[in-house]
Amino acid sequence: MQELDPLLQLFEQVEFLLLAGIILVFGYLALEHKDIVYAAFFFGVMASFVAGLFLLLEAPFIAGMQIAVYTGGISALIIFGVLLLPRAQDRTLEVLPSPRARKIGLLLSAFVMAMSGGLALVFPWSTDIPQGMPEYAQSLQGLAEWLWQSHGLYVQIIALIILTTLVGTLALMKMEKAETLKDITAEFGVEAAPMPDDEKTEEATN
Amino acid sequence: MIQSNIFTDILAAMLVPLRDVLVQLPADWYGSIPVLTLILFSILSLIIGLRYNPLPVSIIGVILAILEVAALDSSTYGVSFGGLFVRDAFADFFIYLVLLVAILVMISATQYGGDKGPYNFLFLISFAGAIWVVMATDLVALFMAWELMSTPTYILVALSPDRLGLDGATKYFVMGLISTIFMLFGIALVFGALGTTVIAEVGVGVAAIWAAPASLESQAYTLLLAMALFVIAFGFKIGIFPGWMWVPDTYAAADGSVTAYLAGATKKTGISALARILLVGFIAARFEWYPLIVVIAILTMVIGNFLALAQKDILKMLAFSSIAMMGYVFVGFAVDTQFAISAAFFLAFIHAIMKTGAFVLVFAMSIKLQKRITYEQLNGLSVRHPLAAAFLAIIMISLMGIPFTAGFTPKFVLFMSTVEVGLWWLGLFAFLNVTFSLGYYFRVVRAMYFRTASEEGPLSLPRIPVSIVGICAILVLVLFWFPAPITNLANAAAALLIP
Repeated sequence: MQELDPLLQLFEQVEFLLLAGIILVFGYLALEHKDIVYAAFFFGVMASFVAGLFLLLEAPFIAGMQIAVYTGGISALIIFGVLLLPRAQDRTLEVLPSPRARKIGLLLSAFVMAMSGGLALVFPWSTDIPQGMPEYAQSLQGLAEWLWQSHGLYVQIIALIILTTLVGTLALMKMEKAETLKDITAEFGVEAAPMPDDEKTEEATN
Repeated sequence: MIQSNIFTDILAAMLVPLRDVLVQLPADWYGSIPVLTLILFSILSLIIGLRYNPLPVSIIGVILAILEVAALDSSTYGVSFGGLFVRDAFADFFIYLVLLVAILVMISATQYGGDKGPYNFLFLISFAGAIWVVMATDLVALFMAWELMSTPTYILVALSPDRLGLDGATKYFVMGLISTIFMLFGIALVFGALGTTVIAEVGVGVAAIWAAPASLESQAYTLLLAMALFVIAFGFKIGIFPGWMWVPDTYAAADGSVTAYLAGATKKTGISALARILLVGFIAARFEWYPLIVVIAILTMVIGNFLALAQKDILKMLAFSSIAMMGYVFVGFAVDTQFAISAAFFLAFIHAIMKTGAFVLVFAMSIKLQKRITYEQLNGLSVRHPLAAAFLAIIMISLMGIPFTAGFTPKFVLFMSTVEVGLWWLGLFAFLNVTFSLGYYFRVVRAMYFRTASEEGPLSLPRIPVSIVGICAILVLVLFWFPAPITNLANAAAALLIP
């Protein structure tokens, strides 16, 4: 492997840290923004900067795919999803944690991040790459050949997984429509029983 | 024994015509023919489900898959797809387990969801993935199969009649995602350090690095991290410490058939995957993973049992007791002798039968009574539905691990095996946990037989779930006296891992 100029090496390190920082910031914004359209937008920006990481790794083809699939495809898909869904269906997921629980959660995740960051820095990572590692293609044609010739089965399994999620999503959407159209207590047995929380709320309103 | 040989000979003779047909298929498919059958029937049931009830087709698919497994001898027709998925004695044990749970679950689906195409499709695809998980000999193939098995289950949980199902599914999905990330990271580290993802080759590579650790220290540490990541990743799905949190919420929210499948089959495939990785891939690093497994076994047993005792909801109690049961299975891994591993596998098999029966019956009751089933709802069940009470009592007694039920044998053997290798303290700890578990299992029996019901009159339950729990109860009794069919399979599976 070609030895890099120390200044260039430092520059690469700074570049990586900068990109990683931006990704974290936009990732956080995508997670935390209340409006899902903004969240999708921040997700798209984050995905574009992830493409920057691939460029740093000298994989421009993967970087292009990252932008096409994540920044373009997935962000558009989220926004389409928002447009198609009339409103959020599930009540149980709307319960947000208390500010105290949120603070504890933040502290805990900061602790885990610090610990894993520390571990990543001190960990004696294996740097010797074994001989005979495969050469990966940098073109769509090469990638297709590599996928179909030696990993055709995997491609088919992935196709099956995608089909499964598609069927499942449709089934879920159909079920949710049924729920919004008619009273669910009669049809769905388990929910007919009032939960302890419901009783308390009823008492409070009375 | 002679009788059982005659029986298997007759069965083999009956399956010869089927085998003759199946061998006409491409040789590269042989090992995976049952899986491909399930995939084919899943698509058929999806299409048929557009107009008719597809459940009979799905059940035929599962029965056909069982016959194919029996017809095609794994030693001759075991390899498929260039050795990515291989049927051997170890895989066969778990394949039979998955298919047994699969058939019970599909029959139980008559209660809820079975008349819909997507429901059947998702179940059959998940069965196919589960069989591939236990057959996978390559880490990437294992990962693919794992996702094929898991993805439908996320949706199946969300399709529950209870609206809490979405909540349970979200927790399960997020945990599943974390487990996927850990698994992928582990695979990447193994590939980075050894340049291979074939589990047997990983075993050779790890042994070579462990034989000369001084010069290859960084690779050894990377592999150790990968090993820990695998334990955590599969631990999330099995529901052991520290990834057990999703189990009670998901099990209590999903419909009974899905819960029975999750507790009975997918958990066990996680055990098989972990067994293959630890006992084939990382056997040279045994002294490094063994303390981790001991700690996980202890914490899992304690958490499962303590929290199960605190539950009022029977489904949640059963979910926590499943967590505790995984702790006992991990005791077998910690002991790591052929005897102990075989007992752990036998326990996993019996547990699958017990939990399938229990979850199906409790869900049937919850649909009938239109409420969550607590100990109160079980009061006086022996008078209101004597048969269901008797079957559930047999299953509870077996879960306690009391003699004359199959739950006793593997636990006894496991605890004896801990003494054999000098881990008596672990055995004692597990025994104390089993004693502790009597507290919540006995409450069920007490409620059914020694408490009077608040409502009068008999309780009519659908015949199918009662017959399923009946089959499970009878199996639990029969397998105490005649455990040979299962112990032989378990011994062969363990012998393959630890020669």
